[in-house]
Amino acid sequence: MTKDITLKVGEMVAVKGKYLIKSIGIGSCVVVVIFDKEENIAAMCHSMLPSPLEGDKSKGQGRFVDNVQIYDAKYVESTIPKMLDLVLKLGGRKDKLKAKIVGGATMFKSFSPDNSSVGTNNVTLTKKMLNDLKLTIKSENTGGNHGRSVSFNTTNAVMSVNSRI
Amino acid sequence: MENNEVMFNEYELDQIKEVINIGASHSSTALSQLVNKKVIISVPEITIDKVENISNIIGDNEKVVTAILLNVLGDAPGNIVFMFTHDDATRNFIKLISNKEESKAQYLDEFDLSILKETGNILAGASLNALSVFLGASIIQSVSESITDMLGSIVNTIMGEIGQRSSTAIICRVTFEIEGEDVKNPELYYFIDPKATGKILEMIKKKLGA
Repeated sequence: MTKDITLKVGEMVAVKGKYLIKSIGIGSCVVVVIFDKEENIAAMCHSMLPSPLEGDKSKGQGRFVDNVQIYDAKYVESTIPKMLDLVLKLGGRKDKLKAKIVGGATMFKSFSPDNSSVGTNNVTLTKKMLNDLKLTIKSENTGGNHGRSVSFNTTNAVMSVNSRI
Repeated sequence: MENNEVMFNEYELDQIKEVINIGASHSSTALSQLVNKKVIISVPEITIDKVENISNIIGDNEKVVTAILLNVLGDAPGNIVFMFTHDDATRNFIKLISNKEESKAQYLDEFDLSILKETGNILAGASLNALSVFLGASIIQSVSESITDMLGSIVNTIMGEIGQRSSTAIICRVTFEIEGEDVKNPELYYFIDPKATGKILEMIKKKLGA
């Protein structure tokens, strides 16, 4: 039976088996999935900002849902290497790993005076980091000016993206 | 405020609450004159939490709302957001202000959004004007922007913006009620830039002469 996991903002999870990982309310945040389709292994994060503030030492506690550890993942910069690490630990094969990206919208014009919003910065950094780690981006649904909800099915690696507008 | 963590004692929180109260009550007076009805406002609720937790506190992340956003610039920077749910309450509100014919469309049209934007402008203007007089500060508001989307997406985007400068956010929530009308709680949020709160507290201190 497929189990559901719902990620909140700034959380990340890595699982092996039949799971449906969901996240709602994605605006300028970015959702990244790194997965190995045949092994049913996937890690998904819902990160808010590209890189940490100077002097920000606050760390989330993480939590458990049905014995699955949910990690803190507020920043793209620190989350992506951690996701890759966890996927490899679960038995993912480095050469078979692929990634999908969703989010990074620019919802308010007044927040992007020079066309660089939190959303675009998130997507740019994510792509750069995935490239550096030599992970193929299988598909993406980024940018625009609307919010999204996503769910990722680990059994067939299908990611569905919903918009309400 | 050099530190990213925002900490206040009860006394300071009360002061911020009072400042918001002054702003919100002027908004409600403006609203009352606009619709020519008695308007009741709630006591401001103040929440201080990590930016990533705010959207879970505000409400159902998947609910579609129309938000009117104004940026506040000057001595006390932040954002003012009015939230309207997509239901009869908002339609009644629009009808009350504009005498528009009843429509059964699922979503709000251009005209409705324009009405809400202008209302946001008037209410925020009244509130900021009162604040700038009270604090003796220069406060400027931007042109209002409307967006219709999932509550979670909207709040997280605003929090992302605040998150670039601070790991915690301060939000103040005020709701309105118009007497005798089925206008349920248009919500008004003040998202205060944490850097501004220090300034606001300083200005109050100066004002009290303490």
